[in-house]
Amino acid sequence: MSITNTPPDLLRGTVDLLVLRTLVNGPLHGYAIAQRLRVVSDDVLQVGESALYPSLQRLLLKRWAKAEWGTSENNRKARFYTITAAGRKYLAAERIEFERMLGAMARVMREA
Amino acid sequence: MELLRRIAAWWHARRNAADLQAELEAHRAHAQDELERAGHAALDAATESRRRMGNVLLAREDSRDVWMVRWADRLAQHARYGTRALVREPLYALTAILTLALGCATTITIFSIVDSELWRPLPYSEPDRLLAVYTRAPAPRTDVDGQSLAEFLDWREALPGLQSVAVAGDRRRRVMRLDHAESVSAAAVTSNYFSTLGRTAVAGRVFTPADAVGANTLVLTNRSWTRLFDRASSAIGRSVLVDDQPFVIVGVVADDDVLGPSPDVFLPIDERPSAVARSSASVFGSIGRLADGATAAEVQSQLEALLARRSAADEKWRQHSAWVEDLGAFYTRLDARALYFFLAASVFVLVLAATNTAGLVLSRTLRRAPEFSLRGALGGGGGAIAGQLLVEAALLVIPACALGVFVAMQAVAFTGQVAPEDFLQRGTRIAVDLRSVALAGVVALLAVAAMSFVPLRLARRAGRAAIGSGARAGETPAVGRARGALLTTQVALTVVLLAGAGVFLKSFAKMVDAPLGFNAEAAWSARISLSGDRYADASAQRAFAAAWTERARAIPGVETAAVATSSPLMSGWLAQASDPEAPAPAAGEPAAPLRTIYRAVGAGYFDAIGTPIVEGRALNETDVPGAPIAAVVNQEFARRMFPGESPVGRRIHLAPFRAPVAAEDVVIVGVALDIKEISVNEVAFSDVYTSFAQHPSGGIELIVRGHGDDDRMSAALRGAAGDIEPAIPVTSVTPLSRRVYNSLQGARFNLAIVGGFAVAALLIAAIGIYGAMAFAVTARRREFGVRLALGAAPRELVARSLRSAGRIGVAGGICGLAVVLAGAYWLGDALYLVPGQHSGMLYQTRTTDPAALSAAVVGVIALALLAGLLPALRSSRVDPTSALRSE
Repeated sequence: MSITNTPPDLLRGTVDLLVLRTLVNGPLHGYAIAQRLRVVSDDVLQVGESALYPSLQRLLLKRWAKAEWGTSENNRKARFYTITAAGRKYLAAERIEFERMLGAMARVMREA
Repeated sequence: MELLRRIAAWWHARRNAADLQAELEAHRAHAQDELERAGHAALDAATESRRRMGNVLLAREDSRDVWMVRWADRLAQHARYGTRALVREPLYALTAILTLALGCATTITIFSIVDSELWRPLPYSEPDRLLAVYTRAPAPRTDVDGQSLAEFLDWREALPGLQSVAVAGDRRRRVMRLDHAESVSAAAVTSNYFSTLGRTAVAGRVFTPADAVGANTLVLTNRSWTRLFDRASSAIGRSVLVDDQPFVIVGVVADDDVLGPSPDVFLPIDERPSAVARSSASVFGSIGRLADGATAAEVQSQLEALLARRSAADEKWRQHSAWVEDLGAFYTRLDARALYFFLAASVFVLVLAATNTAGLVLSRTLRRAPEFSLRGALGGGGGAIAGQLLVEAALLVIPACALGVFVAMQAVAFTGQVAPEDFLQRGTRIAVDLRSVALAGVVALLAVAAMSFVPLRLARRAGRAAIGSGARAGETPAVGRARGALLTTQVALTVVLLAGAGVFLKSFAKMVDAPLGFNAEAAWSARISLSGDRYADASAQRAFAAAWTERARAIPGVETAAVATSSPLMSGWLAQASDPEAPAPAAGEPAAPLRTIYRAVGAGYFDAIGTPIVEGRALNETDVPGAPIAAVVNQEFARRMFPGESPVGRRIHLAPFRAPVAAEDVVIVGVALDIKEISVNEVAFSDVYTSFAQHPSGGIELIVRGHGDDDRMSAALRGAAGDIEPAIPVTSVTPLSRRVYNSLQGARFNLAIVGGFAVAALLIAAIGIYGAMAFAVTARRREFGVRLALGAAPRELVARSLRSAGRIGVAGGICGLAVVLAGAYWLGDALYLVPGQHSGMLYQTRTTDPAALSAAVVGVIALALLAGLLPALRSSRVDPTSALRSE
């Protein structure tokens, strides 16, 4: 599953959710988020920058994350994103919803 | 919250964009680092990272779109582009904006006037609960009944449907003593007058029930407070003498001419039973405020019940009818035709302006047709182009509307000052309000839509053809038809407005030349109101009149002078005349008395005013108290009362109403020429004159004929009156010629408005035709070049161009003529004087006046040719080689 261009609404929300999840363990910059998603999903999810950066902007707009300029591990300038309290709340709520949905889909695939 | 953040983001757009760019670059740099770690050479890694980044621009745009409402971004973009395009063509932008602004300004001005005169509710609290309550005499008189104060006060019990009912009683000039004597017009009102209307004081207080019990209190208006007291707050509580009686000023109310011209001061009517019984005043009509839950219909039936009770007790109330109507409707019943007519004319100007601008936009859109087609061919969405045109149209319309509103505000203020009194009943409250501005907005929206989409459709088609042939877009048949239709419409509308102006001009010229029945040159009228106890009796009035006349005759330059109770163009008392010798009418049929205007005049009056006596004698020194009461009637009276006979020597019974004279029999001694009583455009009135010595009055007008300048005459006449009675000022001294001038004010105003519209129309149409012809010539430059190269004579080309301009003129002229004739048919007699129905705007001129109509048609054809001449001449000077090379 590779998401490179403007995804449909369902996926757009999903990307936001995934990106937000990567921030739970601490601030990350854009490139690192993309790497993390790729690594954690065993190279299944390759979120390109044209989906990633709009998603990050949406998180900023909704105040689920905030951004700060800093220096990356490569000693380069990078913009680090931190999840906010509102972001965590949203993530928790959406996670339950997401799992319910996933469970439902799995049941349908299995039994229908 | 989110919306606020979006707006904030828009504010910081530049910084956000920089952040995003830096961030994407950082992303790429990290990717490059990783590629280098994986063993790529630095240069390759940079290239590869860029390649892998893919469409950075798209990513950036998508990211930005998260913050932007997309259309707002587009809008700003279109607006920037459109503004730049307009600035490059300032002449086009200016012409379009000014034309539209002119149209908007006329419509908003006239709409504001009509709105405040006719449609806006009265400016009182809960105006829908205010009623005009009155009774009328039976046909054929149908006058509003006057009734005594006692009779009126009965209404308060008899009409429980009304929470309160108030009346403004007599209105007369009185003398207010400050450090000098001031003549003020004073209205007597019931103490609940202000509270019934819901008017409050701007300083001090209005009347309360306590003022109804003989309190000598007085309320000023804002105007008189300013004029007499310079708005000093010390005026409140001050005691002044009015007709030698002390009154205390208790408050000031705002100026209000809604229910007729405002008096200078209000005095309370004494409502105590003893005073009411003594009072001889009549009151006409009243103002009622509905009680909670009551309806006008209930009040109507209560008033009918009251009338039934009255007529059972008293013969004179038999067959009188009860009237209850909305107060606003009652007071706007004056002639609204003029207003509607002007409103229609102003809409014509607006349509003309919009048509013209549409033509301009069409030309410009056509010029850009190749651009649009190219954008279309390159995949630019039709929506984007339409959006662009929409925004560009809005860029013209919005400033035009703003300018229009601004100009309208000035025009409305100006109109309030110059319009004749009888034209603008509510001159003081006309304003460009939100309703007018909303109207401008709606008009603007329509104009925007029409101006962007029609040209676009045509341009698309023309553009496709242009790209196909490699030529510039120009006159395809569809474009030609559209342009022809636009120009013909403009010319037709101009014909209509020109014809209107022509008709009004002719009517005005006739009014100026109309016979007045008196000589207005070298004559003055001085007015005085003898009020107060000292002049309550007839002999004092008679003595003052005699002394003033004598002194006036002694003024150097004065040839003759005489008093009267009123004079031409100012109407007079009203009376009913009947022939006592006429056979009694059939049983049950009331005799129809003749309604006349009635005035008492001193000896020598007819010489002074310049009205010839056509039969018998004038009133003279022999008509004094004790002698039989003599009367002079006018020709109209003689025709109506004694058709085919000489009236001289006949007796008539004269029953004045609304006049301080008793009914009696008089003998006709002479016949005078008819005079204009109210305005030039009127049906002849019946007049009766009696001798001032026999029927004196405190309201005196001195007519003086002679030579001298206005200031000297005014000073001399005021001085003469002051010598006799220093305590009472002369109200006014006016040359009679000024009175004639003022009486034409309405006609002059009508002419100015219609003429203004016509001039605007001429200007707009000329611009439209010139612009269109100029464009056509430019578009056909190549064709002209070829023709010239092939040996066509330049003269032929000019003739060709002029022919097409002439065709538009003729076609528009014919269409316009048809519209005028249809309009005239539809108007019917609305603009004419119809006795008993409505007054006239036109005097002895038909709406289909052949001279005005043909002048209008010839005028627009000439205009079309003239506007087409310049571009046509240019077409003949096309240089063939350069024309051919340039394509």
